[in-house]
Order: sequence, then C-alpha cells, then structure tokens
Amino acid sequence: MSSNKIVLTSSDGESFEVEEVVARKLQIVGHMLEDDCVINEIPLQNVTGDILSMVIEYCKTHVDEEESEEAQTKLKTWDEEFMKKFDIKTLLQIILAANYLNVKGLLDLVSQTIADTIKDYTPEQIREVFGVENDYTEEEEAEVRKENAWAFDEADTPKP
Amino acid sequence: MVKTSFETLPLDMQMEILSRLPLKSLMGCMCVSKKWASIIRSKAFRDHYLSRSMTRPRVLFVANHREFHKFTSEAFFYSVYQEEEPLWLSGKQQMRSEEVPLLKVSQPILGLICQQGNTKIVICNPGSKNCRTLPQIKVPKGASMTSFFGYDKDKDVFKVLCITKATKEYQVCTVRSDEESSFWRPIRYEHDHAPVTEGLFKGGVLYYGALSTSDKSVVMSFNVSSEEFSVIELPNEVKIDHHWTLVNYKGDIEGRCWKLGGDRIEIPHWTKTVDNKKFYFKGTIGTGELAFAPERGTWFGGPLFVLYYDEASTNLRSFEIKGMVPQNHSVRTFLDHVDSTWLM
Repeated sequence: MSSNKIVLTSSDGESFEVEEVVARKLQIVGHMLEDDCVINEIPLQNVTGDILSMVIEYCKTHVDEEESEEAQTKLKTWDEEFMKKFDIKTLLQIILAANYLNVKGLLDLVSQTIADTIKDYTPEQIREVFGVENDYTEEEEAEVRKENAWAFDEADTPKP
Repeated sequence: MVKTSFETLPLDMQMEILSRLPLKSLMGCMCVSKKWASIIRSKAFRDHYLSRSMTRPRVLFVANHREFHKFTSEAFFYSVYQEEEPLWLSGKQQMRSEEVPLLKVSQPILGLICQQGNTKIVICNPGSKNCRTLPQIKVPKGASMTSFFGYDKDKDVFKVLCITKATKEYQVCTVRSDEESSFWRPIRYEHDHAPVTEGLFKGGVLYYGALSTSDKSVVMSFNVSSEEFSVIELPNEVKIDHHWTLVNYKGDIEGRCWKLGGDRIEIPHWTKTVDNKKFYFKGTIGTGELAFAPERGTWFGGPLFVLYYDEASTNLRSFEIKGMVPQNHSVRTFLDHVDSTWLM
C-alpha cells in the first residue's frame, strides 16, 4: 500500500493528516476514494475535531488487524484501556461519529462498552447518566417495576 | 454544542446497544421509560435480539421434584451456553417457578417452552420469567391429551396443537397477547393416529412419532403455518414406543429415526464414562458433536453430566453441571434454547 497522505478536516475546521490506509478504515472515506482517486483533502461535516482525533487514534491502532492470537489479545487490551478514557457523553459522541464515518469495529466496541455500563445501573442511574426522560406516571412505574421485580433481586437459587 | 443523550442516537443504534444486554438487565431497562419499554417490546428489537442470541445457544435443564401424582409442581430452570467452556458456568441463568404444569415440557422454540399439566397449558419464557396461560381446552372428562408446540414463521405467532387420543380430536390454539383472540379451534384430519413420542419442531414443521389405526409406526408431520398433516412411512421393522425421541441429527430429522432403528454407533469409553447412568441422545450441537444427557426420571441427584461425542475423532467429552438442583429431582434436558424477548 502506498504511503499516500490524506487530510481529514472536521466540522470545526481542525485538520488531520493521516496515511491513506488509516483513512480507509473510515468507510465513508474509502467510498469517496473509490469514486475519485485524486482527492487528498476530505471535509467531514458531522464530526468535531476532538472526536475525530479519537476515531483516528482507534483506526491507527487497528490499521493492520493480524490474525494471530497474540496480536488479537494485545488489541483487545488496548481497546479496553482506550474505552476507559471516556465518560458516557463522549462515548455517545464517538458512537455517533463511528456510525457517520462507518467504522464497524469502533461501532461494535462502543456499543458493547455502553451496554456494559447500562447492565450494572439501576433505572434511576440510567435516566440520569444517559439523559433519558422518565415518561411513566407514578402508578405506571410502580406497575412495571412490580412486573419486572425479579430483575432487581439477587440471582435466584434453588431452595436447599 | 448539541446536547448528546441516549435518545439523540438513531433508533437502530439504540437497539444495537440494548441487544447486547442480558435478559435480566433488559427487564430493568423496561422500567427506565415508556419509550425504552416500547423499544424492547417491538418486533424489530425482538428479531435483532434473537439473531444475536442464536449465535450462542444454551442447554436448558428443567428440574422438578419427584411428585408423579401431581400435574403441577415447583420447577427449576437452569441454562448455560452450550458451546462455551466451562460449561456449567458460561452464561449461567436460573429461575424458580412455583406451581407450573409439568406433565409435559416441550422443546424450547425461539426461547419459549410449552408446559402442559392435565389440561392446563402454559407458555413460558424461562429467561425472562414471563408466562402466558392458554384458555382452558375443552376435552371429554378424564380424556388424556397430548400437546405439541410450534412457531408459524409466516404469521410470526406460536401455536399449540392438541390431540385428544380417545376421541381423535385435533385442536389448535394460536398464542396471542389478548385473551379474546386466543381460543381453541378444531381442525380436521381424516387419518387417525395416536401420538407416541414428544414433538420435534424444525423448519416450520412439527414432527412426532405415532401409531396409525393399524398399529403401524409412522412419523407424523404437521406444518404449523398451513396446519396440514402428512405421514412419513417407516420401514416395517421400526416399532416406535414412548421411549423414542425424535432429534435433530445434523439438520436431518427422518434420518435420525432410521439411525435409531438401524445403525448402531460404538462409542469408546462409554461404559466407563456413564457409570451405569442412563444417557439419552439429544441431538447434534453446532460443533457437529452428538450430545447426550440424562432424561427425566433417570437422574435423581448426584452430579449431573452432559456428554459430547465427536464421531470423526471418537473423542467423548464429559461436562459436569455444577450447582444445579438438590436430591430427588427429575431433570429434563434440552438443546438450542436461546434468550429471547418473546412475552416480555
């Protein structure tokens, strides 16, 4: 692969010069390059510079995905550490960017990270952290909680 | 800058995230908001969730206390991922349920099982603990009936077929959420037969071993969508009785019947491994291995095992299922159970 450089520009005017192989990890860019191979500067309107830089960091690390188990384990560890850097608001922005830029691996990674967070939260915590409006009336909420009461219990165990 | 919240994500991304949650967490999420609950209850989400969980099928154990005289009893459901080790711990789920009908328990289909008592039939999702009792079926007093559970892909509904042996009545009930449209309706079939084995549902069709009026063994098939029966003839030497189980053998059903009646497979180290316990062939799993497990009435305490046998390498693997149930319980084992949001 040639070491062609491509400049990606964010919605707030920040520019990133990356190698073409890295830029191609963003499938939106990959498609543009297929349509017209002389492009070397690409404006990306739906993503800000701070988020784009993180997407690029992910793509750089995942640029050559080796099959070997060792390489896979190393990448997995990197992914975990990478995800720890962000709060939920940033994760939500990254997932939107990953969707717009069409980076499948990052989309999966952030989806799983957000799901893992939700898994350990109570409904109140979910509403607060994810900015979800509670549209239940008090009675309705009591009812739905009753229906799903076991979700809040410890694991069922057989009687001794 | 625009405020980013979960709800600013496109719906398909919201579903993608929620589909990665275990059922128990999803139940909690139903309490977050009406909107979340309606996403989780939607058909699109159900399909998405199923397609993900079907990549990780489970072995399901249904255990109940040995009370043969009772049609209902307390049951204990336990499941683990079928193809991930350590088997007894991978994706462990358990649920206890009081007073459920347990005379007959169907194979799990898309995460649901059908439990029959004397004439009471309950559809249950053991992963989410949701149950639905079907309307009371009308059968002559004291008549024994047999139920079979299937899924109609065309209409995206579950159906139960009931056959009353003495009066040769065939009735079907479509499982629906509103009680008014859930009722038993008779269907006509001219060739009387008496079901003998449990049902096996595969590819839109229910199969079960039966005896024809001339006492000949046959396999009946019932197309769950069109509600039409047909007969699969068996060689004369094959005599089906209630010890028989139809299983999914590498995607082939009839093939397994011949196999049971005909070829024998010699499995090395079998006697040493099973140690006088009775194991039954339950079908093939995703790795192509043959799975064996104790069947109802043959296991009453002590460690519970499942066995996987690879025909090509003749390797027999034995897995102990730890932390299951106390003594004096009878266990039924099913393959290919999945987590699903049906009935939630």
